[in-house]
Amino acid sequence: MTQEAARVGLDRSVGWGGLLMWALGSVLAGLASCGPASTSSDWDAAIGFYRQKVARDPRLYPAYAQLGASYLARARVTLDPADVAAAREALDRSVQIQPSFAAYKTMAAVSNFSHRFNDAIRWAQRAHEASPEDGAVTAQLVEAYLGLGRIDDAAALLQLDQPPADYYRVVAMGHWLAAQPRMDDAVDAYVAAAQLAREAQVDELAVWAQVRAAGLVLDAGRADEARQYLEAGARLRPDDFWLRVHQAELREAEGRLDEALAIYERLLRQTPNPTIHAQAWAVARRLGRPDRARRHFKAADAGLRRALDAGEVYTLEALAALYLEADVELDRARELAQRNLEFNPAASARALLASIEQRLDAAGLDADSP
Amino acid sequence: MKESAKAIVTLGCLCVGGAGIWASEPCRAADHGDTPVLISAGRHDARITDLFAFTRGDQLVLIVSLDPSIPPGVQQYQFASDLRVKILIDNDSEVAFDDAADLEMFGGTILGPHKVQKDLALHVEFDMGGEPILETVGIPRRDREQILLFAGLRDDPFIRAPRTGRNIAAIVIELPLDVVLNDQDTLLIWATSAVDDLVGPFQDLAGRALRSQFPENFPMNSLAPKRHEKVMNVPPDVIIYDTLLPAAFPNGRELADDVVDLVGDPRVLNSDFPFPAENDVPFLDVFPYLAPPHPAP
Repeated sequence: MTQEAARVGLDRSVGWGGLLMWALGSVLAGLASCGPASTSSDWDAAIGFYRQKVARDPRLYPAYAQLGASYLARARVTLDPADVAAAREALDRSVQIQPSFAAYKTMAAVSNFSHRFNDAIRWAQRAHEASPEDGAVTAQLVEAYLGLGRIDDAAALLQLDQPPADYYRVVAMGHWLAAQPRMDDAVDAYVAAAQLAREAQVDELAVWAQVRAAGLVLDAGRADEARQYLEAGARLRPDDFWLRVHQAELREAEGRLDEALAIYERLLRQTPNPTIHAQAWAVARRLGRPDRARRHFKAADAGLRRALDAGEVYTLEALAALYLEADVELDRARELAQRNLEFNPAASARALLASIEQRLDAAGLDADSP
Repeated sequence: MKESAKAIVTLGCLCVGGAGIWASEPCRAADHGDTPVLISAGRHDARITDLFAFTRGDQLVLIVSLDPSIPPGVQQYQFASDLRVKILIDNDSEVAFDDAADLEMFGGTILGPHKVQKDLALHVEFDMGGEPILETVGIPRRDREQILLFAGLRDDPFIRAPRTGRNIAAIVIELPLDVVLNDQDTLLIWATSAVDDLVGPFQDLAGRALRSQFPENFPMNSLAPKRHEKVMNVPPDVIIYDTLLPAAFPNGRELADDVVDLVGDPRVLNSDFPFPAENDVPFLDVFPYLAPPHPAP
């Protein structure tokens, strides 16, 4: 079971997933010249731009923070640990020159992305001290607490006796509701967030929330409802990376597997991402195309392991889930899932470990057995 | 959706960099939260929070506060080398003082709002070490030597509860008033900030306190004051300062002016508890007038 599935309380067999869409959207660089970005190549330009700026002035700390944010944005769509490391390095440099709210906040985002939730709390608290009213920072804290399974701490931040004050708090409320799990309420929160974003004319955030709502209802098997959200998102940003991913997942739910695989493979041509390879593997397997399935599995395995080899932990759960669904390396899967709990003790992580152990028991493969 | 494909969806992507939603952010200074481009770009250092204009003796003092998000405990401040701050002065636009409503709200009535334009300008940029570089427009060379310039970390002079104990990045300029005046004693003053490579000639504009930061006035921040009436059907967002009179909001703006109370907009007033009437630390009697920065908590 994925973290998301666990949060919404769905009792499902564990798939290859737990797949880590740490981001369902992308981040504008804030430069008119860059515009909305969805693929890794979009972020290549932003990274190049900020690298040039810091090359011209090695003490230009805002540009280091922007560079860090750009690396993080690329990491969200590629899961490349090199980008995560580069983000941290740029942000460290920014803070060394001049501590700033922007760098703290981005550090918190990097930490959440990389499942270093305790670090995320520390950075977000610093950002919160610098800008107490910033709803996005509150949302970061909520996210970190949920990652640690500290639902009550997250609730305390949300001030549940008052209506959420802004988009970010509404989204954070959606996450918290999903963790209860109160799925329908969570969907309502995301839809409300999308409306707020539309009113503020920030299409990117509107699509993010709509896709988020679609994801939840897809998890619940409500494809028709998901289609509405995705169609609404497509009217705003048809090429949004995570919108396209979810469109593919909708095709899967509808049994249109060829179309789903085509979308995944098209996305992969633009942006390598091991979790998308994992999704493509699962679809190719269902379609009875072993060569393509094998190729995607190898790419998913290699990509997810690459992060671990680099000392990261954010692919532990995804790799464990991949092995479980593929019914391979189950001892290794258990090891990965156990280690994941050290960083991410949320319910979904516990559920994944339980599923792996159940599978091992069923197969009589318990490593403790002779 | 393939059930297992859903994932840990973090908010991080929404919280960093662009695509911000700023409209609901409460006001933290007299010209705050009104710069979508800067907020989206994470360039809080370029956000103007306050503009002051007053006299000390025969000197005109102009203060621009920047960066509302300086982390507490920061004791040194580096200005970015791609930041451009301008203080602009119109010294010949005609202003009337016979409309009571305008007088109370804006300090006067600008008779030719579409003619407002800079006659003098003070441009402040920074080298790679963060040291300020002042360039002037419309000020004779012989008078430039009389200009005092300060740039650095100071106490936030905005009199509002949430800003108690906070610091800002300040630019303080003092110059002889007679260098600035033309044939009249009334000045129109505004400030802009810009970051290289961002869209537009500037991304933030500050004029009269507590005006352009409200959502209905956001467009002011990317328009020159002379276009405010034409585009938005409102008077130009500038400080009107009749220098024959003591500075007292909305005639100029003194450091001690409690603009939150004076303007009385509930969007700011309601979150001002316990409603301070004076700054949390005393201002200085001498240049740069702003109190020293608060130490680390």
